Amino acid sequence: MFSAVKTVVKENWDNRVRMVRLANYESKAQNNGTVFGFLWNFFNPALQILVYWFVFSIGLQVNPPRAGYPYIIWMIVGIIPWFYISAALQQGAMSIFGYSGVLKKVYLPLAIVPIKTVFSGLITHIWSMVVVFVIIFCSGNTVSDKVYQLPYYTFCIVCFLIGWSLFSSAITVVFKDFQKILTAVIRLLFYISPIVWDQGNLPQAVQGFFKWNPFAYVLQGYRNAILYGVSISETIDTAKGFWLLTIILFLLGSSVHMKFRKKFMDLI
Amino acid sequence: MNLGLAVKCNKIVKKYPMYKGNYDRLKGLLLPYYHPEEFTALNGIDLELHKGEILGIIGLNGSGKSTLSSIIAGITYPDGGTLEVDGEVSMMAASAGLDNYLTGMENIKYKGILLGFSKAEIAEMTPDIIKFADIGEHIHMPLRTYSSGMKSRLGFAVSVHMNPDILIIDEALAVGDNSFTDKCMNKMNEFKENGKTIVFVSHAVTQMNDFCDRVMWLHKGKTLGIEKPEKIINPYCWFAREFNGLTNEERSRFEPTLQFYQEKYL
Repeated sequence: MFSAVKTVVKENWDNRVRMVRLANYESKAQNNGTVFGFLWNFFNPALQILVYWFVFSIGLQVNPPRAGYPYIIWMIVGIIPWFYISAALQQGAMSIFGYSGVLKKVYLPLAIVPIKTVFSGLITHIWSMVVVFVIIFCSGNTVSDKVYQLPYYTFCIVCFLIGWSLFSSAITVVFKDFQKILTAVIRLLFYISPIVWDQGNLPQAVQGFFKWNPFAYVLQGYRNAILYGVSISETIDTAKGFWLLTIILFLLGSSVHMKFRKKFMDLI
Repeated sequence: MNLGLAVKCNKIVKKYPMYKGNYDRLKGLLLPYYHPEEFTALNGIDLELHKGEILGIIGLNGSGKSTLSSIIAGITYPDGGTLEVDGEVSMMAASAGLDNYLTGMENIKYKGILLGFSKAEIAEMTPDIIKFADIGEHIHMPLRTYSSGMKSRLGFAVSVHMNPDILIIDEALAVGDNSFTDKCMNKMNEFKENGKTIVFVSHAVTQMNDFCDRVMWLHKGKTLGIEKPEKIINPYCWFAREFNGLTNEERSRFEPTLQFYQEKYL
């Protein structure tokens, strides 16, 4: 297991420049051939946010869980990182299978392929967060004094996604149904994570169960840092669960990747 | 590895499991004692390739030519045997690693990034690539609008200018016109003079005859011989002609040897 981790880390470290440049290129190339290009990264989320805002705030009259911020601001701060996560969950799983055209013709160190999708999404995510801050300030709201802790939560997402893409990309190659299952699970996760509705009113037993959702930790973390001013040290209990899961996922992901990598080319 | 060797294959074996359906594939991958039928694509290939040498690989469809080139390129892993390679390998199949939805220019940049070149290096080689491909204004158009000849021109131009130590050309020149093929041959000769190694997989026997130092004849995953072109190509052509006249059953039992055809046709 540890030699697998070592190979994965070494390949990525040795090729870090290439990996980041590929990620950067691909984050731009996604919208190649469209007239509005990079702007689509903003149009699509904006439209979705508008729909959720209309349904939950206007239609269902969901109140913001804490006074001080309107629902839409509360929701945007949670949904923007979720857009990054949900897209990366899918793209990570498809990263090797969907890249067969290149991988079968050009030699690439295979361990960088799942991980570059995490970083290509990160680039778009950072720009989206810039827009979020612009919206917060332009609407006359302010951010908390713990906003400097935000990069920690972004780091959490990146670490989780790295383990996930290593694991899921290998599984998808071997077992293609995984992709279908994943689509359903992501839709479910959207509703059981604190994204468009607050989970504070749920019974204790249900909340205890939801605590194990790793995304709840980071999404809540975004709100804690940007809006509520709750420090990292105050949620250390949930953090332990999150990091345990992230480390297991990374170890497992590296092992599965190394176990199947010699067969990837014969299966895609 | 010996000095002066670019590639050394030792008893390379490659088998492809023949899964019957998706469920079978999952079983084959997860159960350690479940072995499906296998197709042996390469069955013990030995090869020593010197720096500055041009090797042709010839053989019928399905004889293992492409599998061997993709193993040398590091893309596919062999199931048995060892492989040593000294230097950067670049494989060029028709429109290798090019993206149909990117323009010619974007493809040059993308391929450069894939191979790990810096921005400045890519900017430096781009004019040469454009000049060599010589496809005019089409370079700014998406690849899906290209003819197969234009794709091949761009693909070749990109591959040779990325300057690998070992270049594998897998039936990529078949669609180019004569003037372009000549240009490619000149470029490859230049490569050879710089001590680079070329593996040339093709059915174009005349090109192979003019150009290769040695030719390898593959048949059903085995090497029938590696010799100078004039000693291989003619016997191979006669063999191919005879083989075509056989029925399927006769073909599966047919065990050609180089010696037999050399004695008969040289």
